[in-house]
Amino acid sequence: MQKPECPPFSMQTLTFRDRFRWQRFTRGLGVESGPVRLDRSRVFILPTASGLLFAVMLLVMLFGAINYNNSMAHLFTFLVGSMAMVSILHTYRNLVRLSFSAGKTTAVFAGQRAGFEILVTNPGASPRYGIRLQCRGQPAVSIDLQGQHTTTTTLYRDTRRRGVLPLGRWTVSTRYPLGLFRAWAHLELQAQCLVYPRPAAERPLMQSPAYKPHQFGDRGRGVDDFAGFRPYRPGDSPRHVLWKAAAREQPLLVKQFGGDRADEVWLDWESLPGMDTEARLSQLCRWVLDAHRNQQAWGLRLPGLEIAIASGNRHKHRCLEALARFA
Amino acid sequence: MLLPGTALSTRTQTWLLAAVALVVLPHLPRMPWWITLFAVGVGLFKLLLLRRQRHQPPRVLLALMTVAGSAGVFFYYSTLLGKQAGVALLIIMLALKLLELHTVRDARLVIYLSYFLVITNFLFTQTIPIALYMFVATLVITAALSVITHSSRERPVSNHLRLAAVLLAQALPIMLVLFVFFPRVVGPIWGLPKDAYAGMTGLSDTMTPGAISSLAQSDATAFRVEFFGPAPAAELRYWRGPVLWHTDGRTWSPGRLSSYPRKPPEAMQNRGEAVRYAITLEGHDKPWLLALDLPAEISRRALYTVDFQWLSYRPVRERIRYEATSWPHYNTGPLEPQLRKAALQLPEQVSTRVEALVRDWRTRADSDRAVVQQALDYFHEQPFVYTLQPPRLGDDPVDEFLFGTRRGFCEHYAAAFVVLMRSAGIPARVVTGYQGGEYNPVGDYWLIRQADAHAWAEVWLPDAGWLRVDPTAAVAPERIDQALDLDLQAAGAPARFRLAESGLLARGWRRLHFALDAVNNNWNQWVLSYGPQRQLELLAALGFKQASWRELALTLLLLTGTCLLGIALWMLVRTPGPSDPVLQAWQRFCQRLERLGIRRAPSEGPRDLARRAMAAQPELATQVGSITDLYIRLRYGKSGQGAHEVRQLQQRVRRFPQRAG
Repeated sequence: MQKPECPPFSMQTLTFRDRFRWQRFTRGLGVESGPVRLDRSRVFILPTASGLLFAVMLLVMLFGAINYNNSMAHLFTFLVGSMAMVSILHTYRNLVRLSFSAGKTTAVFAGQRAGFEILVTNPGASPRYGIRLQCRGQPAVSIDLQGQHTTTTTLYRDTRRRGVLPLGRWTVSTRYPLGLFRAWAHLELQAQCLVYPRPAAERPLMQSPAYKPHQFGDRGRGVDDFAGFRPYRPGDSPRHVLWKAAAREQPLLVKQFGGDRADEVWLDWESLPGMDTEARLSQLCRWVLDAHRNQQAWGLRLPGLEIAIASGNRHKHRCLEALARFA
Repeated sequence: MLLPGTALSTRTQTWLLAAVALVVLPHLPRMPWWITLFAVGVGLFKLLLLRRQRHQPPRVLLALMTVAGSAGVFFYYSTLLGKQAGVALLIIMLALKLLELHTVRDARLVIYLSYFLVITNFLFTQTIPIALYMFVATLVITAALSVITHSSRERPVSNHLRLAAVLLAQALPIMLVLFVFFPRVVGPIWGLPKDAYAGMTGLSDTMTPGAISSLAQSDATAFRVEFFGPAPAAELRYWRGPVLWHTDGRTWSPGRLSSYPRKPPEAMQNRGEAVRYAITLEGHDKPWLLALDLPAEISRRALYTVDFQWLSYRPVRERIRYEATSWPHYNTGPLEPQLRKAALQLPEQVSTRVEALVRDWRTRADSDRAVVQQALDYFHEQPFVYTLQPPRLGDDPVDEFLFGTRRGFCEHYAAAFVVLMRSAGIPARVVTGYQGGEYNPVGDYWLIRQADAHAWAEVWLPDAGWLRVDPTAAVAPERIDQALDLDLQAAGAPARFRLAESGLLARGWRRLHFALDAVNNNWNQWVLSYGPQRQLELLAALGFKQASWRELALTLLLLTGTCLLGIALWMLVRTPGPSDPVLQAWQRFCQRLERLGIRRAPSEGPRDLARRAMAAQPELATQVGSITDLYIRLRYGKSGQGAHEVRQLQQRVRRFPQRAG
C-alpha cells in the first residue's frame, strides 16, 4: 500500500526534517499495523473558520479598547483572547494519546457500504468529547469517550468493485472545547474488507447445463430431517451428540439427519461463454446466492480452482470469497 | 460535535438566552424605556417559544421588527454610530437574532456579539462590582460556546460550566501578562463619536449663578490627593481651577488673556514651605489640571498660564495621575498693565446702588486692603444666607443679590465681590476650583468630590500681589472647615454642613466608606488608569529604560509563551495513571518486583506471578503472599473495597523492598 513518494516514518526516529515534511501534514504516515497511539508529534492543530472570525472579533474589541482608552475593555479583550489561546491546549489534549485499532469487518457485495470497525481507547483518566472519525467523502462519526474506556465505532466506505478493499486513510479530528481550533491526525490502519461481486440479475439456474437432480433424492445426508441415531465417530459435530444419553453414561450417540431437497449443481465459469470476467463473476455470485437460498448443494468451478459440492453458510462464503479474490 | 449547519436544540437555545440576558441586563437602565421594553419583551417571547418547543416566529414579523428597531434608534439618537446609539442598535439586533436562531452558525454569531457587549459595558462604568459581574457573564458565554460546539447527553450542564471555569482560570495569568506588557497605544486611533465623553462632570469654563451649586450636589469624585508631607490646613486647601476674568453682568468667562502662557513662578517671592503631592484626577473632558493654590511645578507636559493654572494640551478624558509642587504662601509681585485692564473690566451697566455702596467704602477707607475688609464685613454683617438652592435672579443679578434676595451659593458671593472690587478700582477676578476635601485614613489620601466645587475671588494689592479672598467664608465660615452634607440640603434653607459624627455606628459606617473608597482608589490607580504613561513608568521600574516597541513585544511573547508552556506541562505531561488506588498499588508492586528481576509476563495473573516471586526470593515470600492475597481479595472479591483494606495494601507495598539486598 506504500506509495513511493511517501516514505514510511517511524516515530521513534523522526528527524527534524521528517517532522516538517509536508506529506506528514497532508497524508499521514502510511499504513500501520496494530494499534496506533496518537503521540504528540502526529497531532496537528489549526484554527477553524469560526476561530478566524473569533480572531477578527478580538481585533475589533482591541481597537475599541484602544480607541476609548478603556482599561477594563483591554482587560476583558485579553481575557477572552487568552481563553482562546488556552483552548488550543484543550483541543490538543482531547485528541492526543488516544489509541486506535482496527476491529473486524464484514464482507459486503460491491455497491454496498463496507463497514470497518474501529476500536478507540482512551488511556487517560479524563473523558474525551466530540472525537470525529471520518473517511473522505463519508459522513463523520462523532463519539464521546469516558476515561479509561474503549469504544467501538464503524467507519464506512463505498464499494464499487469486487476484491479486497483496504480502509485507507482516514482522519480523526476534534474541535472541542470551543470550536475555535481543530486538531487532527491522519491514520491508515491495516484493515481490509472483502467485497463480493455484485450479484447479477435473476437468471434461472435450472436452465444451466450443469444442473442435475440429486441421485439419492431424500436419502442423502443433510441437516433438515431427523433420520435416527448412530454411534459417535471422531469429527462429528458436538451439536449433534445426544448428550442426554451421555449423561446416563451410555456410549455416545449422534443424531443423524436425512437429506434436504438435495439437488446438486455445478456452477461453472465455462457455462457462461461470451461474457466478460466481471459479468461472469456477477452471474456466478447470483447463482451461489440462489443455490443457497434454495437449499441446494453446489460446487464452483473457476479457471484454476474447483470447490467441491457442499452446502451451508460457510460453503457459501467460501465460494463468494473465491469469486471476490478471482484474479 | 456540532457542525456550523446543524440545527439547535432547545437546551442550546436556552443557554444562549441566558448568556445574552446576562450581558444585556446592565445596559438596560441606561437605555431609553422603549429599548428596555423591547429587549425584555423579546426575551420573554423567546422563553415562551422555547416552552412551546417552537423555534421560529414568522419571518415577516422579524423583518418588520428589525426595520422598526433600527428606525427607532436612528430617530431617538439621530445617528446609528456612537457609544449610546451603537449599543442600543447592538442590543436590538442581538435580541432579534435570538428569535432567528436556525443553525450553530447563528448561535456562534450571538455568542461573539455577547463577548462584544461585555466590553461595551465598560464604556459606561468600570467599577469593581461590574468587573466581577462581567467575569461571571464571560463564564456563562464561554459555557454557551462550549454547548454549541459539542453537546451530548453524556455531558451534563455542570460539565460545560466547569470547563468554562477551567479555561477562565487558566487564561488569567496570560491575561495579566497581556494587560501589563501589551504595548499600549495612546488612543483614540480614529475620531470618537461626539458622545464618547458624555456624563463626565466637572468645572465648566463659564460661570453663571447656579452652575456650581448644581455641581455641588454631585457626590462624584473629582480627584484624590496624596500629600508627601503633612497636609496643609483647611483654610489653605484651595484647589485652583479655571480663572474667570470677563463678565457680562451675569456670565463669567476666562476671557482672552487667561490661557496666555507664562513661566512657572520659580523666582516668585514665595514664603514658607513648598507642599508636594500627587493628584489622581478623574476625567472631566476639560484641560484643567487641578492643583493646590498656588501651583509651581507639575510632572506632566502642560501649559502654565498667566493666571497660574496648569493646562493639559489635550482634554483630560481618562483618569490621570501627576505630581505637583505648590506654595501655599506667596507674593505674585507686580501686575502688568494689560492684566490690570482685564482685571478691572466691568459689565456695561452697574447699578447706582452698587456704585453708591462702593463710594461709601472708598471714603471711609484709606487703602485698597481696607476696602476689601469693608466688603467682607458687609457680607458678614448684613443678613446674607449661604444656601444651595438660591432664588432665581433677574436682569441685574449682582444688584438683586446684594440688595434683594441675599441668598446665594459661593458663585453668587464671588461674582458680587469681584464686581464690587472692580467698581472700587481694585483689580479682581473670580477663581473656580475646589475647596477642602475629606481625609481617608485607610488609604492615607484626601478625596475631593464634585460637591467640594467652589468659587472665590482674587484681588491684586500693591504690597501682596494677587491675594485670595473668599467672601463665602465671611458668610458661612463653616464652609471652609467642613464639607457640605448633601443629604441635609433643603430648598431655600441655609446650607447644612457635615459635622464630625459621634456614635459608634456612625463612625463604623464612616470607616467602611473610607475602606471602600481606598479599595476603589487602588483599583483606579493600578487597574483603570493603567495606560501608556503608567506602562512606561512600570517598565522603567522593571529595568526597561526607554523600552523599545520590539523589546516589549519580545518580553510579551516570552512571558505569554512561558505561561502557556506551564499550563501545557500541567495539563499534558501529568500522565494520568489508573485512578483506582488498588490498581495503582499493584502496579507499583510489579515495578518493585521487576527491579528484583521478576518481570510479569503480559499474560501472567497475580497468583502465578506470586508463585514465581516466592520461588525466586524466598525471604520475601510472606510479604509477596500477603500483598497478592490482599490484592486479589480487593480486586476480584465480592465484598467491595473497604477503605481500610486499600490503605493496608498501599502500606504493604510501600514497605516492600525497593531493590535487591
